[in-house]
Amino acid sequence: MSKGHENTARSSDEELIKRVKAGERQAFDILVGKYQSKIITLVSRYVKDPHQALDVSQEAFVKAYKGLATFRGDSAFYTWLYRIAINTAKNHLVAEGRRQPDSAIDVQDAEQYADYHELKDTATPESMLLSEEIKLTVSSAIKHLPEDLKIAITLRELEGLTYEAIAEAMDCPIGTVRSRIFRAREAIGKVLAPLLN
Amino acid sequence: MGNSYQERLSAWADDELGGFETRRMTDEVLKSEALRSRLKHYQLIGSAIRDEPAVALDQSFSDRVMAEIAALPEEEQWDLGMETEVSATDDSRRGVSWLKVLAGGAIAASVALISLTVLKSIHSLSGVEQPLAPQPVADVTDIKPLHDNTVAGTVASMPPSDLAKPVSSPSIAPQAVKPIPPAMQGSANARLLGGYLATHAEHAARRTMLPRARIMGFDIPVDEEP
Repeated sequence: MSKGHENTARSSDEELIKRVKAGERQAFDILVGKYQSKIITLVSRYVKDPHQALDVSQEAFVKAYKGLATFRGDSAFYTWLYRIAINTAKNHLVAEGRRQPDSAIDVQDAEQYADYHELKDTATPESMLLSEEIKLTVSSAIKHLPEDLKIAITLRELEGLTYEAIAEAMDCPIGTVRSRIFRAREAIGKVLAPLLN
Repeated sequence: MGNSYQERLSAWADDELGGFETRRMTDEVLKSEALRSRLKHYQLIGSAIRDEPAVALDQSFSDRVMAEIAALPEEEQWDLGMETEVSATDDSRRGVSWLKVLAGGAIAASVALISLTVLKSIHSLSGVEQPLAPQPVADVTDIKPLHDNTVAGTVASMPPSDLAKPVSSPSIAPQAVKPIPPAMQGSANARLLGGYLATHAEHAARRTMLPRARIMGFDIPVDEEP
């Protein structure tokens, strides 16, 4: 992730945090939606039991909500949230009387090496089935996308590249990248709509 | 909801909007349930592409978090108890920024004071601070040789305190200089001195040239005395 992207991400998160502090609870819901996957993945590296990992992640988000007053914006919101999640997970292990992992886990490592299969156990059979169906549908929809849209959405969602980096890679203006990613999402969304409804 | 609007939402989800647009879109997202729903779809598509765990695709997690937050005691809610804490923090920040302004002003004043003091001391060394008050100037026609071979006019008879003062310009006009008396005209030195004093008197009237030149006296050979 480029530095520029981090800066803009921070400004977006800061906007949402400002709204939370102003009493707009919905803003925190958006933050949860944005980071839940990363936090659950991270916590699951410490807490092996999938159900407990979910509870610890939930606790971390609630702690973050309560502790927003201490968040000064010196670091990115996710970095701050990451520390809370790690501490919550460690405290959970201490409370459980278990040994903590020897070394701290890097955020990226946690994202790359998390064992998703364990987390799958936490879902109900219905939601598991729906999730698998969603994944298959999205995968199929991407395959049918025009090449330029497929590359743009893949570089964004899988590689996490900024629009600027994608524009450079695809040799086109940033506005075109923005439009391609949007059209790709819309095309996938149309295919996905019957499932979600 | 137009395409360009939705496109901005897509860019907002990727944190790719500028500061102003981000603020505006944040407002819109918080106001519109439809936009929030579309945003969740975008997040869902992203999670599916990244093959994230099934739980990440299950929106019930964020619902549970928000339910727990809603169940918090009132003093732990941002829209109630915590808001006061935030404003208190803001007030203390405002206080700090006010102190910074005050400290900056104090530093600037100190620098100005030091500069002024230094300038004043430099001027006093060069004597510039003395006022150019009108002073009587020697009458060039009244020049007489003294026994100690010193020629002086009334300038020489002026008290030392007056001599230290700068010559005043406005009181002297070129036409006020009288011609050298015939008794003096025989002496070459006297003529030279007379001419010099006349020129000096003329230019001393201007502030740009010889403003403080004074003739205290000069030596002449005895045989040239009239």
